[in-house]
Amino acid sequence: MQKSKNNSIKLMKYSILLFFICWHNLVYSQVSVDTYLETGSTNVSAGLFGNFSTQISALFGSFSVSTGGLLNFSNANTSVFSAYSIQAANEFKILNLPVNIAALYLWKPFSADLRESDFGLLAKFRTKHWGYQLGINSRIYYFTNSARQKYNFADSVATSIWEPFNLMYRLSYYQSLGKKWDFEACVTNFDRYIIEQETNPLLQAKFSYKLNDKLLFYSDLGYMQAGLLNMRVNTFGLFLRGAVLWKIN
Amino acid sequence: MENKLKSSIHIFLVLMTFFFSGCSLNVDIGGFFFPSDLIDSRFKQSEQWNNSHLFKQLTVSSENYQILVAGDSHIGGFAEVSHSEGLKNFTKLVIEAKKPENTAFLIVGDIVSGQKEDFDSLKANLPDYNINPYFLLVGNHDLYFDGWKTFYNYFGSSTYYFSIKTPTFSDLYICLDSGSGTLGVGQLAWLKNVLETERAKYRNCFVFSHVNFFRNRRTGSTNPLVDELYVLMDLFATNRVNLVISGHDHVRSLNYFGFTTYITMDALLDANPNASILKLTVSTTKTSFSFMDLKSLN
Repeated sequence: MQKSKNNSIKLMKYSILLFFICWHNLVYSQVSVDTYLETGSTNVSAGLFGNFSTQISALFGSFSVSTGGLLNFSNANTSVFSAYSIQAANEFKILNLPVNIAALYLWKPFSADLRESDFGLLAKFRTKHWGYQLGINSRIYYFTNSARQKYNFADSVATSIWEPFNLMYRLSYYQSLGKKWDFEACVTNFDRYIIEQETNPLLQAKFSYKLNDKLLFYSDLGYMQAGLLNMRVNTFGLFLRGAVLWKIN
Repeated sequence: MENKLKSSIHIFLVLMTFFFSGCSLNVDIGGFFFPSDLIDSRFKQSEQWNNSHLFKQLTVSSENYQILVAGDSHIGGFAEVSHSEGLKNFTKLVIEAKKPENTAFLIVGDIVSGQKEDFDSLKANLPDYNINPYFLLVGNHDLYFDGWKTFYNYFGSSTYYFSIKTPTFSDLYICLDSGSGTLGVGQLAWLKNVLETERAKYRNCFVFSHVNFFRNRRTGSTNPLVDELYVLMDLFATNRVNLVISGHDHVRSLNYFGFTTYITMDALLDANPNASILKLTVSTTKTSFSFMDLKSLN
C-alpha cells in the first residue's frame, strides 16, 4: 500500500516536471494550429462523410513536434474518434540540401473490436516547384483487449497481423499564383490520417491563401482510386477539405 | 549537384511506376485509363443473373467432404500471348477435381488472360458441371481485352454464394468479384446483407476473392484500399468467417487473425515452380487445409 502511494507521488512529480518542460518549450517555440473540415464519399462510407481534425505543432529551431486527432461522422462509422497521430521531425543537411526527416505514429480505432497502428519514417525535400517525400512505414492490425476477452480467444490464437514494410511517397508540384495564392498538385499514397499501400496512389490538388503572417486558409480536393496497378481503374472516393492554419506566436 | 539529385529523383519515380505495374506483354494497358467495365456495373449484371438463376446447393452424403481451390492459371499466357499456355497445370487441377473424394473446385480468378480465345480454351477444358461442380471468380486479368463480356456470357455472375449440405450441417461459400481492386458500393452492401442474414444459418463460412488482403512482402500487386480492408476485416471477424481464400499475388501466404485465416494461394501458372492446389477438408469436428504440390502430380 505504502509502496503504491510512493509510486503515485513519484509519477505525479515526473508529470509536473514534464508539464513544466513542455510549457517552457512551448513558450519559446512557434506554435501553430491546423484545423480542417472535410466532406466526401467513398465506396465504404455509406453516403457522405464529414471529418473534423485539429493538429497542433510546435517548432523549436529545426526540430518540430505535432500531434492531432480526427473526428469522423458517417453512416458507416461506429465511433466518432477515428484517428490520432503524432510526429517528430528535424531538419538535416544531406548533400548540402535541407532534408526534413520525421518519425511518425498513427493510431486508428477503425471498429469496435479492431485497431491499426502505424510507425514510419519520412524524408521531405522541396525545391521551388517540386516537393518530394519518401519514407517507409510498418503497419499492425490488432484486436483490442476487450475484443480478445469478448471472443474468448485462446492464447494460441493470433490476434494481430503485421505488415512489416510499406513505401510512403509524395511527389508534389508547387506553383505560386500571385502574392497570396499558391497551388499544389500531388500524387501520394498517404494523407494526414491514412497511409495507403504503396500500390494505391491518390491524387490531391491544394489551393492556399495567405491572409497574413499568422493565418493561412487552404482547400484540398482529393481523388482516391482502386485497381490502378490491376489496370482496372475504378473510383474509390473523393473528398473536399477546407482548412485554416493559425500560427499563434 | 542539386540538379543531378533532382534528375535522379525524377528518373527513380518514373522507373518505380513501371516497376510497380509488374508490366507484362499480355495486359490491357487501356485499363489504366478507361477500363471497359466498372465494378458497380458488373455487380448489377451479376445481381440480375442471380435473380434469374437458382442459388446453388450441393448435397453430400457424408459428414466429411473435400473441395479443391486454385488460382491464377493465366490460360492464354502471363507474359506473352499463347492460348495453350496455362493448360498444363490447369489440366492437373481438373484431373484431381474429377476424383470422387472431391465435391467441387473453385478458381479464385486470373483464370485466363482476358481474350475470347482464352475463355474458349478454358471452356473446352472444364469438366461437365453436373458431374464435377466448379465455381469461378473474376480476376483483373480475366477482365482485360473486354473479357467481362465473355466471362458473363459463358459463366454468368461473378458475385454469388452457394452452399454444401451434409446430412446434418450446411456450409456457406461466398464468391466475390474483386478484379477491380475494390468491391464497389453495391457488392459491399450485398456482402454485408448476406453475412447478416445468412451466416447464422450455416456451420462454416468461407469467402473467396481474387485480390489478396495483406502485404506480407513487397509486391506490385494491388490490395483493397485500407478503408475497405477495415470494413472487411471487421465484417469477417464479427461474423466468424473461417477462411478467406485469395490469389493475385502468386506467392502463398497465411495470416491468422482471430477466427479467420486469410490464405493467399500459389499461382497455378505453368511457369510457377511452386504451383499448388489447396485442399479444403471439412468434417464434423474441424476444418483443415493443406497444399498439394503440382510437381508431385503427374
